Amino acid sequence: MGENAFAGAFESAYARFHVVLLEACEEGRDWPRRIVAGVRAGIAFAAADPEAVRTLTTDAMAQGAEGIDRYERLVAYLRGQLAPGRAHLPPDEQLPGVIEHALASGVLMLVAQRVDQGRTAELPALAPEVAQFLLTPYLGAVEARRVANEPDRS
Amino acid sequence: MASPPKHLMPSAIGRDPFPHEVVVEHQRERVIEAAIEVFAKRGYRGATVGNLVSTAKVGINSFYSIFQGKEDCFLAVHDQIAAEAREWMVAAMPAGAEWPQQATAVLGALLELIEQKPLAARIALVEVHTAGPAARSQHERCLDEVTVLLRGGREHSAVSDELPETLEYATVGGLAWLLQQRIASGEAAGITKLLPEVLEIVVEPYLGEAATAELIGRAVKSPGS
Repeated sequence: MGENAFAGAFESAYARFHVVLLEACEEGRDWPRRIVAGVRAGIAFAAADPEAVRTLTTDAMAQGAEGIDRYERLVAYLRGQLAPGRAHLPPDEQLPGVIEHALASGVLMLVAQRVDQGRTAELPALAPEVAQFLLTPYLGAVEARRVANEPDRS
Repeated sequence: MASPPKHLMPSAIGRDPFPHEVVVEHQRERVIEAAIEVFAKRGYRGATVGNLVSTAKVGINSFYSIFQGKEDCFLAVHDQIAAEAREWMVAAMPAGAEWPQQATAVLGALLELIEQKPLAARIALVEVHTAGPAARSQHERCLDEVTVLLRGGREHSAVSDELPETLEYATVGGLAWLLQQRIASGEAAGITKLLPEVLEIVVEPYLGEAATAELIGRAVKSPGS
């Protein structure tokens, strides 16, 4: 795929993914539950459209510098969704400056790996684990697990 | 006067003075050494077999007698970099140490290696994504090895039952991207300064905040120990 064609495919996939997350994370819920809802919606999107996930992750990185910049834009968006979690930290606790970067890219890598290996059927079952992974640094392991496994009331 | 041993005698004109396999191995090493520079500086997609043979100063026929092509050469380069990194990190592990000290030593050694060999690091963490499915599979296997190492942390965790099954893979994936970003933006120098943050990301889920802070304090006080 040429660079222009890839750019178009990436922007289209990114826009669809973005809309899915915006709808899922709309205001009205607290931050942890917005994250859980976003993860469920994002994973459902990945399971339904693995080609889009491949475009946003594996194919983007395979494009070299420009693709990496695009991928980084996606990571940056997800980082922005995680950062408000710092308000949930105990007053004397701090997290490393790069934690959101590592969490967001870790989850993207995990989903990309399942898609790459043709294991998309496993994705929906991963949603609670992924949500727990994202919430743990902010809420602690026990509370993160509890919130991540609450029944879906949407 | 006694004659020198037969293997040191001058060869007949036009004949190679060394056994064929020795020559091939030497050429292979030269190509791999050159390829690290070529792939890292031009990128996998921008590099050609012509660049590889001219930098290595070997003939194109010799190149194709050793490698099937550019991708095969890249895979050999990646394989060698991974093997050296593995050896480097194993050597850094203090014998008989517990998992927290081992993890600290391995992560410190990894950052140090990236700082010392930024071109090789670029191939292992950045260019590998651009070199096709076989390269990505090799990369995945490397990540899996680190994942196995991290799982040892569960034995030291008071909350191991609460940890998600995919914690290690996601952590390693996140760490790989962080390092990849630094390397891609030419920030490999000074990457060892990231050790405290890397330890917080990797070790804290198992040990908790206080024990991780103590571990970081010791690692910062005595780097490389």
